[in-house]
Amino acid sequence: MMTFIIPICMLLGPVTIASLLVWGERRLLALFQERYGPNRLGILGIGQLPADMLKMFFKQDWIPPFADKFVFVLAPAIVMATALFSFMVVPIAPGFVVWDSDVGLLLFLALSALGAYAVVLAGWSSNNKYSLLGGLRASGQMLAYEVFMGLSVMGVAARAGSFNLTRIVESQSSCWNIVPQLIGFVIFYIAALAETHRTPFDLAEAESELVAGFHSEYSGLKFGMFFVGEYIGVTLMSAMMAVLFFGGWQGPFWSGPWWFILKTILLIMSFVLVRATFPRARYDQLILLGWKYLFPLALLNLLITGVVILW
Amino acid sequence: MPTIFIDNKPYEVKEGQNVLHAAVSHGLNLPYFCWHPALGSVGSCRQCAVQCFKDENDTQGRMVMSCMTPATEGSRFSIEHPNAKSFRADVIEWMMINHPHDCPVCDEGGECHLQDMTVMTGHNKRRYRFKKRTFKNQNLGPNIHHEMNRCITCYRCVRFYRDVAGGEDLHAFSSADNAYFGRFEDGALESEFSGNLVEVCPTGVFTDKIFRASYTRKWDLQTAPSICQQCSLGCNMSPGERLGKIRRIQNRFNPDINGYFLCDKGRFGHQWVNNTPLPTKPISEITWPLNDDKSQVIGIASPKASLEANYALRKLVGAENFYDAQPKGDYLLAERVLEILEQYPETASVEDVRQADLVLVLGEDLTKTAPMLALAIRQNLYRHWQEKADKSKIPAWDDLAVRNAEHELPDVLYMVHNAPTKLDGLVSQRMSLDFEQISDWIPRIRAAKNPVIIAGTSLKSRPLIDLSKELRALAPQAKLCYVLPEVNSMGLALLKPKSLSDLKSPGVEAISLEPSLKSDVMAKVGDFALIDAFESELSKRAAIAFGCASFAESTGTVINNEGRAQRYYSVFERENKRPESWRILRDLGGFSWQNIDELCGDMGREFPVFEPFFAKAHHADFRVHGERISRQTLVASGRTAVNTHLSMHEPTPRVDQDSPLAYSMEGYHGDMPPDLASSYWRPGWNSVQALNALSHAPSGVKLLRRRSV
Amino acid sequence: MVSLLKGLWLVFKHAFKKPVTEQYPEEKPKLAPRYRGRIVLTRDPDGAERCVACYLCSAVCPVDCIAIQATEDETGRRYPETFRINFSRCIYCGLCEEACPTEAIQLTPDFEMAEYKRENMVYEKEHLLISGPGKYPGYNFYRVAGVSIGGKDTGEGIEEEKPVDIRSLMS
Repeated sequence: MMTFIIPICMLLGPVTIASLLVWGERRLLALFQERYGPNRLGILGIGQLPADMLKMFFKQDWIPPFADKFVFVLAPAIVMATALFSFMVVPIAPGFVVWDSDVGLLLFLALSALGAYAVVLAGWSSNNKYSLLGGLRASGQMLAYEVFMGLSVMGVAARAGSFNLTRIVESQSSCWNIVPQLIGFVIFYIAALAETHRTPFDLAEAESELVAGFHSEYSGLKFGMFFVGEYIGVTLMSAMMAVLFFGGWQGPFWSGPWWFILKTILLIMSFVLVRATFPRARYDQLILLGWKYLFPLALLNLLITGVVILW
Repeated sequence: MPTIFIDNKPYEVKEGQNVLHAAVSHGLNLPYFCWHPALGSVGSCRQCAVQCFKDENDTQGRMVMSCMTPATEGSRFSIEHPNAKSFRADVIEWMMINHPHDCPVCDEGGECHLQDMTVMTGHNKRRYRFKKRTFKNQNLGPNIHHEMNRCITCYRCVRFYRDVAGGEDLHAFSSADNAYFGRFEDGALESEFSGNLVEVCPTGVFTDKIFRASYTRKWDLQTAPSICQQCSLGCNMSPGERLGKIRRIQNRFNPDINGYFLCDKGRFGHQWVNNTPLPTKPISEITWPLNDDKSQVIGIASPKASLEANYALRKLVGAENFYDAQPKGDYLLAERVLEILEQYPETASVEDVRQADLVLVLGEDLTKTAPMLALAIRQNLYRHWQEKADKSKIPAWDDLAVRNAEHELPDVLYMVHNAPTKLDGLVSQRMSLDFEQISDWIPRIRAAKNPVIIAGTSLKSRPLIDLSKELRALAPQAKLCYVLPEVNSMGLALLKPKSLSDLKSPGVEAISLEPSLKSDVMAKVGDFALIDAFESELSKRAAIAFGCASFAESTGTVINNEGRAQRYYSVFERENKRPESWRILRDLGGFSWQNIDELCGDMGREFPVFEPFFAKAHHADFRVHGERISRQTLVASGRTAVNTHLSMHEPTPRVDQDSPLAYSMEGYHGDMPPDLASSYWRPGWNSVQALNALSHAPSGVKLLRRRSV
Repeated sequence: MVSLLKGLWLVFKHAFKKPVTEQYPEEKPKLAPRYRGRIVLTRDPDGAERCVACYLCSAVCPVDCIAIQATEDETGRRYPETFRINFSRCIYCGLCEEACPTEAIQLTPDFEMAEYKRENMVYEKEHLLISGPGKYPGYNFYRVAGVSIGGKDTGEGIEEEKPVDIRSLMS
């Protein structure tokens, strides 16, 4: 029985949260900017969500005649697929995980690296200069940040002595990783922003320069998949941070999945706060920051962690 | 070419020009009122004051009226000198003391010389605290509206009307501050050149009453260069259209023909273009009622239709079936005139008549048959008076003294006519139509330096035409000028039609072209198809009637009485566009001409006489800086609202296939090729006075050449 | 790094402030009398149309959305036969009001003119003409102009002398 329920929960849960974010992010941004945001439809404007969905369904799903059709259709599917697959290894409560894999963390890193392809392929297949520029920026950005995203969590893995995410959560029973691995967390957080191309690292879709970047040519449901895919990515990254740095389902009292969900939601809100605060970085600054500062810092963090553990 | 210095910049000026004329023709902003290029200077308005200097070391200078100062080599002036500037500002302020607060409801507004000059001098507030002087207006007939309050007493109207046009019923009354320009009592102005008052008056005292009935500002009129269709002189004019209706006609300056003026027939006779159009259907939807073999059908040409239309008809029916609809007499006279002109191709233009020292009129009442020739004769005599006064050291501005200086008429106008004409008062010698004592005049003709012999077809008299030829043979320096019945009589004659009176087989089927056919002409033919622009008696009798575009909606060529080919351009397209008559004939004949240039190419090969004109005329692909020339002004208004009561969709402007002009405000607006300019404007000069800065003017191409024997 | 955190904190604090948004359809905004909204044609103090169809507003209109045709009544008073504004093109710049020499055309503080059909955005003269003088109560153009109209012959306007008798020698 549980073999069915768990995968269904792990599929529907993130998708529901992500789609609620369509409305939630706008409400939150408005809150930070002293506005109301969408408040007309239903209670607190929650009706905006089905309205937007309906709109997305009924819009013309247009494929430009000059596009590479197969790749054009493939790209949004990759976004959704990789992000949803990653949830496979996320433990919500003890035993409540689809695949309690011993290489869970590596699998997550591998899948999120695959997600970069979606953006590159979308940009390339659109056959449009803005899309291509967006795709190129995304590939450079993701290559850079993928590397130290992996490095930043190695400290966590080393402390737990395992790549199994359940094991990692259990290893934090006395102290959350946020304390010993603060540097790792900061680096992971920045890399997560870059991976999900959220402001201030949304250079791939920088609408003030590139129309809509890699998804300029997308419309209808395909655009919707990019749109929701971004929120699923945000949810995934928040969930991973809750697992890796904030002790997963463990809380000071009444440990259980609610703690995990609460942490995830707070982290998602922090993503919105960051978006409300920071302006977009320049592309060269972004790459500079990645390779010259965060990458060495991640290596240093791993070195010190290793020294401390082996001491 | 003397050089003068204005504000220390050298300008080349024409010999004998005054400083004002020189300055405005170089595009300088020097205000003036009473001066007019065709009326000369009188120095009465004091508006064109400039500072004049002895030499470059003179800093003080003295003030002179530029219109009264000849532009002599090396003379130095300043427009910008503070003395002159403040003087001019004062003058305009005085003029504006009594000028009413009328601009929003004044028809001159937007093309008012007074507005331009007021803005130019910077006057913007009336400081005078007392009341404004007013006048009662007069009803000056159906063409001219009178609004005397607006007068600034420049005297241009009476100087034109009385001195140049010879009218006697417009006067200056009263004196001093109360000077009044009008008639003794209400009534239509008698002169046939009264319409020029509208353009001569620098403000809105005389305005166009026909235009007033459906008034539109100058900037909203769509204009194109056109040729007057009323007589054979081919005066240049520009009709203005808005919302599918011709609203008014303005003069288009052509120094060889009409110069600065138009006759009333040409200026006010345009409302027929707004008549009920004859509807048309595509050729494919029409069942052809006549003989399918087009060689069995005759074509009846029209001297009112364009050269292109007549040629297309000739091509369709063949040269042997190409007939002229004019009565036999007219036809033969036209044939004879052409024969003479091919022997003596040096025809006289209207300007030649103005400059001649002897004008011989053989049996033409010019005021009726070619009014601008009558005006030219009057201008000629006025010039003679002035020249004589010059000799007596009487200044040109002292009009009464000029006329009194010589009690006798200048020995210029000789007339052969029985009936009284309006020119009678100017005739120095006269003879009846049997011209038995013509030999008495021969020594005078031979002695003249540049005489002009005017004859014409209006009396249908072959002997008079032959007489003109004989006189020409006796006086080789003389130029001939024939007044023909219609605008394109000469063009039709050059296409060599046969006379309809010689038609061998009555009852034959016919295709008849455009207006002017008298119904009795058609009695000779059986079933006929008619190509005409408007509904008429004839269109009801026709077996089939094709609606074609009138001259205002089509582009074509006409050849005037002196053999000068000129092109008129379509001013607008009706909502339901009707094809040009040559396009209907093209479709009937299955010819391949796509636009007028292709047709003219064929015509030029068949009739080499037209070739020089087609080589010079602007083809449809002519562009200035890659742009078509705009028919609308830069500020044409209402584009997004004029049609919204019918449809919210804003139609794209139609594309003119036959000319380089665009039916739009988009396109070239700068310095035009003269043949394509239809309205005059330059910054600060919104009135017709802007034309004084034109560097060149349209001319057309004179086609007649001596026939090689 | 600290400044980044400061920024985050600052933005976070804004979450607890009262939104500045006005809830428009429920709370009506207070608009200044010179707000540039729906265009009207006004009447002079005598109750007659102020517009004299001078075409200045249509000429100055940057989007060319005003179309006029002038006409006259039998006494010579000029007025617009048609006066059409295509509000679907209008940009409410107010240049027409600025150009109007008779204070006939005025912009009003009414902006609620949305329609479901574009055709309904085209206002003819009868839709534009209101029954009062609008923002400028006093001005009456024909009283100060020199032209004569019904009820005001030449010389009867404000600041005008009686017409001159041109046959008199005394002047």
